[in-house]
Formats: sequence, structure tokens, C-alpha cells
Amino acid sequence: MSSPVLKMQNWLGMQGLFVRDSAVLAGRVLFSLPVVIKWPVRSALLKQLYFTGIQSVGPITVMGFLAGLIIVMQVSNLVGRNEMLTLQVLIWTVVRELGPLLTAIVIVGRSSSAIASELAAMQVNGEIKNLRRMGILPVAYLVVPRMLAMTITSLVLTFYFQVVAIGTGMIVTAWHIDVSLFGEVGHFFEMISYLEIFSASLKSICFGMMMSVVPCYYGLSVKRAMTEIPVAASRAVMRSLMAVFACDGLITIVLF
Amino acid sequence: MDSLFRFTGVRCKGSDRAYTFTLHAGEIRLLQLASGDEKNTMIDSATGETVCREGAIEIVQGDRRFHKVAVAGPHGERRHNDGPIPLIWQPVSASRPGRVAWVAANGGLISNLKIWENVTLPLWYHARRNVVEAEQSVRHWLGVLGMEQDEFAEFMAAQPDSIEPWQRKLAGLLRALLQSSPVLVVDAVLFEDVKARLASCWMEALETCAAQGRAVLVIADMATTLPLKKIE
Repeated sequence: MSSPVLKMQNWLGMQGLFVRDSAVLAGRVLFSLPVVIKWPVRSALLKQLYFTGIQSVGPITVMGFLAGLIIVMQVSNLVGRNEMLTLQVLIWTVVRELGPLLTAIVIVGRSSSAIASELAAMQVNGEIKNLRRMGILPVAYLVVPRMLAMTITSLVLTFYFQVVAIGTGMIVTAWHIDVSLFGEVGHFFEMISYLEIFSASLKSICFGMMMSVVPCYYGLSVKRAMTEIPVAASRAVMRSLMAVFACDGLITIVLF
Repeated sequence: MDSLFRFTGVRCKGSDRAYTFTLHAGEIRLLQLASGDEKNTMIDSATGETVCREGAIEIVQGDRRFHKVAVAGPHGERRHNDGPIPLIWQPVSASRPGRVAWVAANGGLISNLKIWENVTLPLWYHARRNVVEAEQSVRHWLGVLGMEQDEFAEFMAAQPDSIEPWQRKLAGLLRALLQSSPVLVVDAVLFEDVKARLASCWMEALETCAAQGRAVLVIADMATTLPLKKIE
């Protein structure tokens, strides 16, 4: 058998192992969810919500504002003074795709590498072993709050991004085409469908789970060498992004 | 004396010696092993993180200090049994998590938690959260461990990397003392590189802990001067 074929087989095998192990980790997290009633886990969850959610509000606001502005200006240049089409494109792009996707990219950039390197450092310093010796399951104490926080954050920030982007788009359209802002809001609610809201919510929930499980997996996979920490962080970011895009494609194909 | 912790023919990987002994309530014993690897394996087995390869490590089920058994009399009436309570042994790896508290050589603190969060972590993870009770208990044990009351707030708010190594050790010991677990497993290296006065205070704290009906197992991998009864 030729070497490229063997390499391809190895690569596919590694991808299969990664998907299987990540799925097992996600399953263990779901089974461990009742542990949230314990105070230390709730405390860790609140911290993660602050670091992942509250601290991402600024970048999300700026990106939402710019995304709304850019989309409306480009569509206006393309189709002219067509309020309804501009609004429709805004819904298609922001609600269906850009909202969940750009929010996920911001969260991955801010938090995935941080989670992977934090867990990897804990592993290298023997802190994960310390937790086990205290009878505390690392999945329950470390992964559950991170996955919950990322999922909640992803859902809430996606909604916030959409509100900012669509709000900016409407204001710019109203100013640019000279139409009533309240009329635009009315048209928006007539145009948007439940399927679009459902798809955005489903995507943000799935993205949140993926971009937390993948860095946790890489962080906990580190053995005992300091040099493994940056490798785990960079892999976590790349794999999280790939997982998010693959999931986005899958949900789009299934729903639309 | 109530038996709490039992080793039956426990042999670590690479060791030619099997250990069989029982720890009773109020006892502090020293287990001296041949190497660091053997010590780590034994700590893993004693804390229930791993199942020992050979032999069994068991802990008494339930809290025997508050145990009363009601039995049926000859005519079916319920009455308290004043005789010895039958022991129910359970493998430590299968027992309820947190029944064996552990003190690491370097304190074993979690770096992204403050000292207060570190010391209350196993306590509140394995039992219900009660802030007032925990604070009183922490103040009591810190007093026993030789820390001044006015240093309490600053110490508790510190991050592990901002305090001295001996303070990290103290926090690790405090964390285990706070847990109401019947057995404490202590790494003997804890007492190294600390002032003699502190080491003596900490040993007194372990004695106080044992006097409350708990058992303490100190594990060493080399000759130690700790004034403890060795397990032969």
C-alpha cells in the first residue's frame, strides 16, 4: 500500500477518534448535568458566564453594528432603493447565518483557546489529579460549567448580535432610503418566519456545545509537558471553528 | 475503638511487600513505603482514585459516630441495640466520594480559585453549602494550625500563586480538616521545609482531628522524623 494512502487512512482514523471521543465527552457532560445543583459547580458556571458572556458583549456590539451597516450599504448599492428586498436580505444573512456564525467566531476567538490552555495547564500542574483525589470528577466540575456557560452565552449573544445588526440595518435603511423606521419594524415581523428563528436558536445551541466540548477535550488530553499547552490551544481554536462551520452547513442543508 | 479504614493484602506495583492493617477512630499512623512511585500509587488507591492491583482497601460504611441501630425484641417491640454495631465494609473506590480527605505535599490547591474557594471546594462539593458554619470551622482550624485571626481575611482572599509555599501547605491541610470525612490521608512531605513550630502545630491539629473520631494515615516514601507510630 502506498504511503499517501496510509497517511490518508491515519488521518481519517485520527478524525474518527476525535469525533468519537468528543461525542463521548459531550455525552458524559449531559449525564453529569444534575451536578449543577452543587455550589462549587454553580460558582464556576457563574464565572464562566461572566468571562465568556459579559466580557464578549463589547466585541459583539461592534461586530453587530458593522455587520448591519455593511450588509445594508452593499444591498442598497446592488438593488437600489428597495426597502423590502434590503430587509429580506438582512433577515436571510443575519438571522439565518451571520448571527450564529459571527457570534461563534467571537466566542471561539475569546474563550476556546483560554479554556483549552487553562485545562491543559491544570493537567500539567497535576491539579486535575488533585481534583480526582478529592473525589471531584473533572468532567462534572470543569467541563459541565464551561459547556453550559458557552451554550447559554452563544444563544443569548446570537440574539443580541441579531438585534444590534438588524437594528443598525433598519436605522441605516430608514435614513438612506428615507422610509419610516416603525414601518420597517412592522415589515420585519411580517417577513421573519418561525423556521428562521428556530434555525438560529438551534445553530447557536449546537455551536455553543461544540465550541466548549472541543477545547475541553484538547485541554484534558494533554499529558505532562508544558510544550503541549500552546499546541492544545491552537488545535482547540482550529477544530472548534471547523466543527462550527461543519455543523452550520449540516443544519442549513437539513432545514432550508 | 471503632475501625474505620482497612487494608487487606494491599501490594503496590513493583513492591514485594503486602500491607494488612486496620485504622481505628482516633488513630494517627505512619505508612512508610520504598519509593515515590509506590507512595503515589498507594495515595491513589487510598483516596479511591484507582482500584489497587492486589488486595483491598475498604472503609466503614456510614458515619459510625452518629449510628444507632434499632432492633426488634422477642415480642416484636422496637428497641435500641446497645451492643457493638456490626461493621459494613465497602471498597474505598466504590464508596461515596469525599469519604477520604487527602492532603497533598504542596497543598494541592487549584490555581484559578482563591484560598477560600479552595478550602471549601471539597466540603461544599460533597455536602450542602453552609457559609456561616464553614466560616466558623475555618476560623477554628486556622487557630489550631497557628494562624493569627487578623490574617484570616487577607489569606482567604489570596490566589494560590501569591502566597508562600508553607501557606499553600497550610491551606491544603485546612481543606482536608474542614471535610467531615472519617479518614484523612496525608503526604508526609507536607511537614518538610516548614518551621518546626508550624510542623508541631499541624501535628497537633491532626491529633485534634483524630480525637474527634477520625483516623489519619500519613504516607511517606523515605525515613521521616515525624513522631508517629509506624505501620509494620
